[in-house]
Amino acid sequence: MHILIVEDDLDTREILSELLQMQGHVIVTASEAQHALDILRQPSAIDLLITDVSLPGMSGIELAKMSKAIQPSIGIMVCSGYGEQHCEALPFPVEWSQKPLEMDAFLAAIERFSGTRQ
Amino acid sequence: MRDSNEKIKLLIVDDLPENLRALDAVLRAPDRVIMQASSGVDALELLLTHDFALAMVDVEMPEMDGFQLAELMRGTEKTKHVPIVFVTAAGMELNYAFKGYGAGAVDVLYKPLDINAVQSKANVFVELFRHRVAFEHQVKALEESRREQEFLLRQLRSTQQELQHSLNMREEFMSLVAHEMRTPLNTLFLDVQVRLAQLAKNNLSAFTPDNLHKMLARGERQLKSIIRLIEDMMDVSRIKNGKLSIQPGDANLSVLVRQIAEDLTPLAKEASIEFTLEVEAEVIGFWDAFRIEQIIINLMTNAIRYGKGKPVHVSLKREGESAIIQVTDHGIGISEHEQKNIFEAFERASGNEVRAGLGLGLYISRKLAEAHGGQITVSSQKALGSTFTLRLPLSCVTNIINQS
Repeated sequence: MHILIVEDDLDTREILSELLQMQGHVIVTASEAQHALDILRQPSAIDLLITDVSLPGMSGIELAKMSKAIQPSIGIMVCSGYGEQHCEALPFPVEWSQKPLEMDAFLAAIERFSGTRQ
Repeated sequence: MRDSNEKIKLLIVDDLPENLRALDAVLRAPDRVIMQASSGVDALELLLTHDFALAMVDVEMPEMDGFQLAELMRGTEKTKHVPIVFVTAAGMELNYAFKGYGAGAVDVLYKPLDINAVQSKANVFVELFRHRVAFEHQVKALEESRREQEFLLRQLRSTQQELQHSLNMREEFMSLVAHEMRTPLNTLFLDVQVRLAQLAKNNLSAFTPDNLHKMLARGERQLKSIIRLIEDMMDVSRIKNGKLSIQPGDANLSVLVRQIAEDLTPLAKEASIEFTLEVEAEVIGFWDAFRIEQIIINLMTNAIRYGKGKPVHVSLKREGESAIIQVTDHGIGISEHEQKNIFEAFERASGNEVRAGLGLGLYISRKLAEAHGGQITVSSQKALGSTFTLRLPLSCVTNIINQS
């Protein structure tokens, strides 16, 4: 899959990239929502958006809504240390991952997206 | 208010001095003061300035007789409750008793007076008066204690509110601490899990010197951020206990500021922020360099964090006997309301989505500045940016941080 990771912490971004690359995915990263939207507007097909909730500027929830508008087929996974209630405001189903991310559970969630794709 | 130990006053009214003397002799006792009036007018004057347990009034007096005096007494608030005992030389057959009671008397005594009867009646009224005074005392004391209780209750309520507020703050703080600890731990944990998975797959190519270096640098950063978190918490605890001291020595602020700017440049780059420096040379003073560095790092990391990727200006100059450091960003800014709280413990510019640590940095910085006899101020406008100014006397005097 082509995955876009939006995370403001550089180290977390690097590790997630490495982990998902290990699984054979193609990774693009952004540290904030505006940059992520720029990437989504380019004609490269992103299958899955993984975003943190708290980001500088626009929040991950806003980003999820706008991404869906740009690319309706995109899968969305929201990560947050604060709880799932953020996602309830979204008009479409998203995968939600509680931070700290536990590797096996995280990869299993990614696999579910992979599965729906094939 | 009458004192319960005060002598009790009795009034005797008679136009004949010998009668007054005789009554005085009969009524006299160590706990009493006998006041004499030789006419109704004199009696009224005394009645208006004293509280009497009893007035013994001769009925037959020239000008104002006893009955007229009694009527006047009953018509005046201050005197209407003073018990009146009439004394009369007229025979019982004259029906004075009846008229006397009508005028408000409580008793009528006939001359020649029976000394025992006079004394015994006076004793009754003195006792009654004593009880009344004691009762008034009790009522007043009760009223006072009720007011005191109300006051204490109000105090208790406000203390309870403060306590509840600080408990809530503590609780929020604990949950914030947990979250802030979890973020770097999370990254470390994930890093370790990924390495273990690579080892399990025998994927040794992931462990090149370059990768190992990156890995360790990451680990170091996460550990440092955990350590900083704990140090901040310990500083706050030391401040609250009045135990944070500074160790001043000769320090060159110009060198320090340039060094910090250099150290923070990678972090600034990560946020697309450029520092512009305007540092006067050789600003030298007597400070705790480690603590001053802590303040400047706090101000500059805040500027990076909230600076929206726009240049951050850092200046240092000497002004009289002070060194002035200013850090200016052009980021999200701080509303006037928030500016009041940002230097307090556990406060943070709210309503922004940026992760910003525990919100202790500016509180600690302010306390450290104050410990140097200096101060930190902010001027800011929402959406336009903020300027933080640290003003330090060239030679600090105090070295214990005050509580609060």
